Amino acid sequence: MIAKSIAFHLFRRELIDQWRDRRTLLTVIFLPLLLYPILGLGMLQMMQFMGEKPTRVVVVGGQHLTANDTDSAIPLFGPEGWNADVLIGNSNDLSQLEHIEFSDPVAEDAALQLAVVDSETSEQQALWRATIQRELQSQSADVLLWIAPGKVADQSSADSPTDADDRPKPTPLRVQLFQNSASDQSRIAAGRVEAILGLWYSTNQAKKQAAAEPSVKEAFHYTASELAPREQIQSQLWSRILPFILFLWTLTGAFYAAVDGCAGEKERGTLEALLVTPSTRRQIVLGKLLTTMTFSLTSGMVNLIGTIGTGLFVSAQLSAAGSHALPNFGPPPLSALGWLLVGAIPISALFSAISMSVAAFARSSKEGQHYLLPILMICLPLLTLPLLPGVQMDLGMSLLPVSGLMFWLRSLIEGQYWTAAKFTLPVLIANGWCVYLAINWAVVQFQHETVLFRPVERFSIFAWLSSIFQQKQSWPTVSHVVALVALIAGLKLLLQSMAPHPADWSSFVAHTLIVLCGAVALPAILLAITSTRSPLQSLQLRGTTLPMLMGAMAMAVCFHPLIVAFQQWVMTLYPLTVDTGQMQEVLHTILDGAPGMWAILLLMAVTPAVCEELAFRGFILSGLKQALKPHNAVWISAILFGAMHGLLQQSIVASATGIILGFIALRTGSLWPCIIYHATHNALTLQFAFFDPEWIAPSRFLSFVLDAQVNEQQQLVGLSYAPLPAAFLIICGVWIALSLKPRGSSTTSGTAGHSLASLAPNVSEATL
Amino acid sequence: MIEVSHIGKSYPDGVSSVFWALRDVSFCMGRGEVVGLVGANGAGKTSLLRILSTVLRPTTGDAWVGSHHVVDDSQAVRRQIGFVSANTAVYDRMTGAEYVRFFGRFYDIPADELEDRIDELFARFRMLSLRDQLCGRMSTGMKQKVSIARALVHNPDVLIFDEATLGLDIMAARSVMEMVLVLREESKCIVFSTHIMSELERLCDRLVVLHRGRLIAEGTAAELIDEYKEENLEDMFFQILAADDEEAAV
Repeated sequence: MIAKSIAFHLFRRELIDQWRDRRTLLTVIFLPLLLYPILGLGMLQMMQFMGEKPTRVVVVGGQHLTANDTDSAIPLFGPEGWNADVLIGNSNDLSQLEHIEFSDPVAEDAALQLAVVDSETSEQQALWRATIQRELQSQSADVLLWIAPGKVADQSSADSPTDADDRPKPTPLRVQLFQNSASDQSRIAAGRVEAILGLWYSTNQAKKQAAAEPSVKEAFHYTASELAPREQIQSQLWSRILPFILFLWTLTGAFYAAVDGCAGEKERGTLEALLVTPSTRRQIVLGKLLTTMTFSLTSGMVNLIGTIGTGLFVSAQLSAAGSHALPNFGPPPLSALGWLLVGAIPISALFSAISMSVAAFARSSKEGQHYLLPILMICLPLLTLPLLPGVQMDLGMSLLPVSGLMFWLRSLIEGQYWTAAKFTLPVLIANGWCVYLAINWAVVQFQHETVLFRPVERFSIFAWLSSIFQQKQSWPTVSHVVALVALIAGLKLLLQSMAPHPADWSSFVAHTLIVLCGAVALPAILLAITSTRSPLQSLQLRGTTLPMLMGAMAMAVCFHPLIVAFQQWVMTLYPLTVDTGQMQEVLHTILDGAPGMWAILLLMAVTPAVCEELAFRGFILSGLKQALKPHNAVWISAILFGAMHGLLQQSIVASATGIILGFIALRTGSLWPCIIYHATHNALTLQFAFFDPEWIAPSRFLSFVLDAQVNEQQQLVGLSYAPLPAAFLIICGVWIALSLKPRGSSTTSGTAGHSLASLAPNVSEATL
Repeated sequence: MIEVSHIGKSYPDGVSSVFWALRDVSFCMGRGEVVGLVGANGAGKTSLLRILSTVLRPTTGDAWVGSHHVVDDSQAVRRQIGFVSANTAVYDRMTGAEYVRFFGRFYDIPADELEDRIDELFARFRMLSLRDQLCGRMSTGMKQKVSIARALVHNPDVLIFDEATLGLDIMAARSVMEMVLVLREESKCIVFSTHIMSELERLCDRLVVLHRGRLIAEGTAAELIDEYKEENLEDMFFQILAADDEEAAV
């Protein structure tokens, strides 16, 4: 009994200790709560990389399966490619399949040889496979579908197509699919082609049976051939496992070393002696960074060697036992170790810098270790992204921190040196930039005396919450800003998941208003009322002048060419997926039901301008300004604003516009010019989205300013500004921006906001 | 050598308010002078000494060490000072000599000169046995002696001791005091904060009394004892604090 009560007594004390540790509570409870909605938004952004990409199929001998030759069966190909009738009543999408013809007779001959000749040496077959691979690559195609009337060996019998009962025997068709299993895209393509072939076969089977004709089976012999050497397929498996292990262990190794080197040194009391030496804070951080990198590299490489060793052992055991359970599992390529060593340096630099920046903030080792979870939550999706099937290395991917690096390493291990070389610079720039930011953040932490000499906090959760909501401040604090961001992210996800997808104009209006007002504006207004003494001041709703408003409107017009060009560049970098494109079409259909352009502008230009400005340029920017330098407050509020948008492309453009809006808020000290800018910008973007090319010809002005690309059917396929007027407008915009009279810093506020897409959170509009 | 002019230092206190650890403190020190900083816990001594050692920035006012401003020219200030505090720990996995050598290298001292300096310091302060001993295996007093050697390795003109004898036993405290006495004879400018009045009487030319962040008395020990008509420093100290508390209550 006594033992139990003592145990309970100790338990109680430990619990009180943890309960009063504000940072433990924050990192263990509140940070995950905050991060999960952000993670949700991040996953939405990542969907952009996971959309299905069209498959390009090279078809040789397609004429054998066209309508002319198979008169009684449904043909696989029509005059313009795949026969859509094959897929009636099926969910497969023919638009995902592109059909092209071979252009190189040498490669065609190689395919023929591979398909019909079995007795050649393996060296000769490897040469043919390589020829086909090269041809596929040169045409950016994924698989080769080879169709022939029959084997060469069968030609003699095919020449006399009669049997005992004199009935003509159908010539057996030979269909062969050449795929490269080392490529995700090729494997996906093979799956699609096989699905269509299966469908075509079963449809014909049913039709022929109904017509009491001979089974099509007799005329169809399908085989799949592998183009990639076995070693390459095996290396593809390891090219995923090994970088992942390297990344995970370099991160873990870096993190614990950083926590010990920064938070641990603070805790042990040895840091102060270091701080009074003539070394600069940056030198201290760099010294510690090198230590962290060494640990990170060691940890990563030791675990890699362990994995490779285990892989070799398991593979040897499997092959000795003659097991065929895992045909694509082979020994890890030893050359991978060299590439992993090369890749480990930038990876460990990146993770060491990130870990240092976080560890420098922690007061104690205990607090520091709690930050591993948030780092993992951010890094793991980025690590997993390059492992997803169908995701390919392109410029957009290469610019993603962590993911780009992982992809680059994968390319090297798989022997795709050209791909790796092509993206080396963007990968290094993107990750180098992150390293630079993280190091600077760590240096800032080392200069921050409240971080270095932070006292032990005795904390009551209720007192803290009441301090947020009861002790009214003159301005929002960082705690208030964090609370608002978490609220907006959580409510947006909640409302968007609960509300049904809008199908018509009225439901779209309701959906948009609920999300914008309920998840964005209302939390900002309520927090301003409950937590600050002057809500109007906190939301920056202070008077302004007509010239300011006019200036903001003119700036929106003048900077629109810049934003349009930036948006087009972003779209090139990260093209919209097919799904997103379809969503846009749905949006256009819904907007066709609007009572007029005025209603669209009110809903999609004015409402978001007001709601988003109240939150981001109003409450969040004025809160951030109290703790940060104005320019830092502007870019952080702009990134938060961008992050709240559902589409990656939209987020990037919104963040850029957010910087302009933040600048306006700082300059004018009022939210009204920001609202005007935002609304004008959205209105112009909407006009672009619904632009009719017929408007251009009668107007000299529009002909001069705009550059419209139309197709043969006179449909608008692209709209942008002509270079000269665009340059003139941008110069005017800069001049107006610089002419805005600065106000006292205490009255400034700002944020970046713009987006028409945020107006339509689910049926997102890709143009901002 | 040291000039403190209207220094104030505030810290965030809770969500909205600030706590002023120092308010409008000013005093000067010359070369070779030893000044004792006296005050109850929370009087602002550590904040003031951390400002002088450039690890904290003053909220208001200015301070100079050897004509260098503590904020604008902090690198130069750090080259001139040696700082030892009760909170300063040593690296447990380094020997005494390694520890001192590690810090010596921050001051661009040539390697052979640095070794001579380390030999001299360990000999002068009779700590040769600590030279090759791991700091983790040393007693608190030994660690503090190694810390002082670390602060002296670059032969600074100004020494800042923040309760350097706190937590030491009598023998260790006396040993540290003897080290300070040696330094005093070398005409170093020393700021010394402590709670132990006997240390102040032995070491300090002048006393500066801080209470609740303000400088409330300054002078030699004899002057202060005379002024407050007390028999010793300890009584004088109580008297000053009581008078100040009374004044604040009124």
